[in-house]
Amino acid sequence: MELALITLGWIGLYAPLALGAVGSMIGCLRGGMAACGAMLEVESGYGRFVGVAAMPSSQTIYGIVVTMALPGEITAGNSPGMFALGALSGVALMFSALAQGAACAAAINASKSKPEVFGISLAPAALIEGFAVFAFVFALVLAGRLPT
Amino acid sequence: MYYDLIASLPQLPYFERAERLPITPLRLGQRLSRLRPEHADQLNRARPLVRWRTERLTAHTDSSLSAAFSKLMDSQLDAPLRDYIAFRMTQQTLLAALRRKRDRLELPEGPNSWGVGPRVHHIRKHWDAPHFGLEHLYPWLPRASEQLASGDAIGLERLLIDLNWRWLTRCAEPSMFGFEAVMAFVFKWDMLQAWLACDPERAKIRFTELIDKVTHVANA
Repeated sequence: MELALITLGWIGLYAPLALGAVGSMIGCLRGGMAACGAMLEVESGYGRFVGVAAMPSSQTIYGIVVTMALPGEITAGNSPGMFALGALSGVALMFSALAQGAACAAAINASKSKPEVFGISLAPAALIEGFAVFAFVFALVLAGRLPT
Repeated sequence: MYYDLIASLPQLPYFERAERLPITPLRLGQRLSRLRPEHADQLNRARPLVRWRTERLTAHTDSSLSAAFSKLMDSQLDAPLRDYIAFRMTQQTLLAALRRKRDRLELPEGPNSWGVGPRVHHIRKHWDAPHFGLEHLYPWLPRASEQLASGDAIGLERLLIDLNWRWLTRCAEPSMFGFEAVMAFVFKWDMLQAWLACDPERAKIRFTELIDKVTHVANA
């Protein structure tokens, strides 16, 4: 029983980083593909498309920080909490990165034909980033309450 | 999902506002080479049947179109493409029925000899009803019927393209980077190409040539 709890604790410890990274990979892929497609249609401004495509990479950074903030020593007492906190924050980060990738692709698609909407078209991606930040900050706050 | 393909396609203006094709046929073909083989195959099979070209009608008889439709619908197709083919061919069937009614022709006997789709039997059954009793299901029928009766060919063309354009826009909305969006772009591009090919000056020259040819034959 204790071994199972400890295993859950390890899963929870690595989940924010792993799930955040998976989300970032797919999110950046979506944005990157759209950026590559848009480059065929425009004559300049390639750099900003690549910059937008990289937006979903922040979730991996949040995942690293949450993993580092969780208690270093895994015990049967803190494992359930670590699993819940790590897995749920990881899932939140992963889905936010996936959604942000799609939002970035849509922004790139819109701004390639209408460059003047570039800033405003990034608003949905920024909102999604906001939700990822909520998940990240509250994971940090709750990590401080876990028994060590 | 086709993030790169959709992003590489230009914005298609509404057909009445377009002055030229935003992408050439050659370039469009190159971009469509990124489609997955099964989707490319589906589009290649569907385009000759539903594309907005006059050759489509002149190169086929009613029964050959009906056979092509049945063959296509019996094959493996993604749901949005299947729905669009059904929508487009039902529209063609309703128009064929309206034309026959305007010209006081009876419907030919035999299944699928003049139209295809789920409305064929309904139309035959309600032949004497105004608009075959389908005006609530297809609100454009009365207007199309009036335009047919008044010989307003351009108005009818505009109405039909608009209906198809809106259908395809609605179809592509839920999945901005999916096959639906690619399919909608391709069929809209076909419509735009056909619309822009309508040139009154060229039509006048062609008409004069045909009149000259006929009168020359008659005089000889």
